[in-house]
Formats: sequence, structure tokens, C-alpha cells
Amino acid sequence: MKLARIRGHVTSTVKHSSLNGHRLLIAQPVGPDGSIDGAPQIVVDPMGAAIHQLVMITSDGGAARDVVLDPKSPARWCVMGIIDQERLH
Amino acid sequence: MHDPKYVGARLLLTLPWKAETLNGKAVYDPSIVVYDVLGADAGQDIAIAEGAEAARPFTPANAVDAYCAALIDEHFYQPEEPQRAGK
Repeated sequence: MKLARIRGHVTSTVKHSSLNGHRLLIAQPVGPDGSIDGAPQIVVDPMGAAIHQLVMITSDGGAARDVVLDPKSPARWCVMGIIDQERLH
Repeated sequence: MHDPKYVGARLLLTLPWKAETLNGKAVYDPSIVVYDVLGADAGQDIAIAEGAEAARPFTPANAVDAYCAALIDEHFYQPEEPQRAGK
């Protein structure tokens, strides 16, 4: 899993059928210090994350397929959790 | 090497976005070839699925590792974070 900051969302009419009805957010992977940590990803969001919220995202396609309920889905990234509080030691 | 599964396939030359791209800079990750069944046009923004998930839509799975999962109508991007009270 990765830390990511929700930076926006995308809309799409023509897409793989498994993505129909799902929120597609733009998630920017970040390090613990908030620095950019890789390319931005379009993630399937079953949790209702809001703009600028810190979330955990996963690249495990299995988890994404469980969210969209389609074993043939190309979905890969999805939100696994919304972070309430981050404490660095 | 000519894989019969690619006969008639539409293969797109794409420029994957980086964080800077979303901030308006014309910089991209290295170009990749993407398998497309949705009919993306030149200059169109798309969502690319990479890795094993790219082969999922195929029966039986084939050697595709980049697949066009969506044609993007619009993207809404707001990098600035509002100052939260008490921060």
C-alpha cells in the first residue's frame, strides 16, 4: 500500500464496463513528509474520500476487482482506507 | 515474432502523465504502447491499466501489459490544500 493525497477526480463516459458507477479519483502518492512519491494514479474509490484527504491506496488488482465485482476488470489501483491521523516517529 | 492475438488490435503510442504534467508542464514519463478497444483518438486523455491487470479483460489472458481502461472526458485537479484551522 502507499500513502497518497487526493488531488481531484476524472469523469469518463467510454470506459471498461467494470468501472461504471465507481468514483475515479486522482491520487498523488506521497512520502510520510508529504513529498511527491511517484506518478499520479487514477484510483477506484469505494470509501468516499474527499479532495485533499490523505488515503492508503493499493496496486493489488485483486483488491480492485473485489471493489468493482468483475474478475475481468483492468482496474488496478484503489483506495483501501482514509487516514484520520498520521504520526511520524 | 507475430502473436495472432494482436491481429487487428489497435495499439496506441502514449505519453504517461507525471505529477508535473497535472500541474500544466509538458513533461511525461517514457512513452508506452497501449492496447485499445475503446477507440481513443490522438491527443485524447486516457486511463492506462498496467501490469497483470492489463491482461485481465482478455480470455485467455495474453501478453498485453498496458490497456486503455477509460477515455477521460474531463479531469478536475486541485493541488493546493486549504489551510485547516489550528494548523
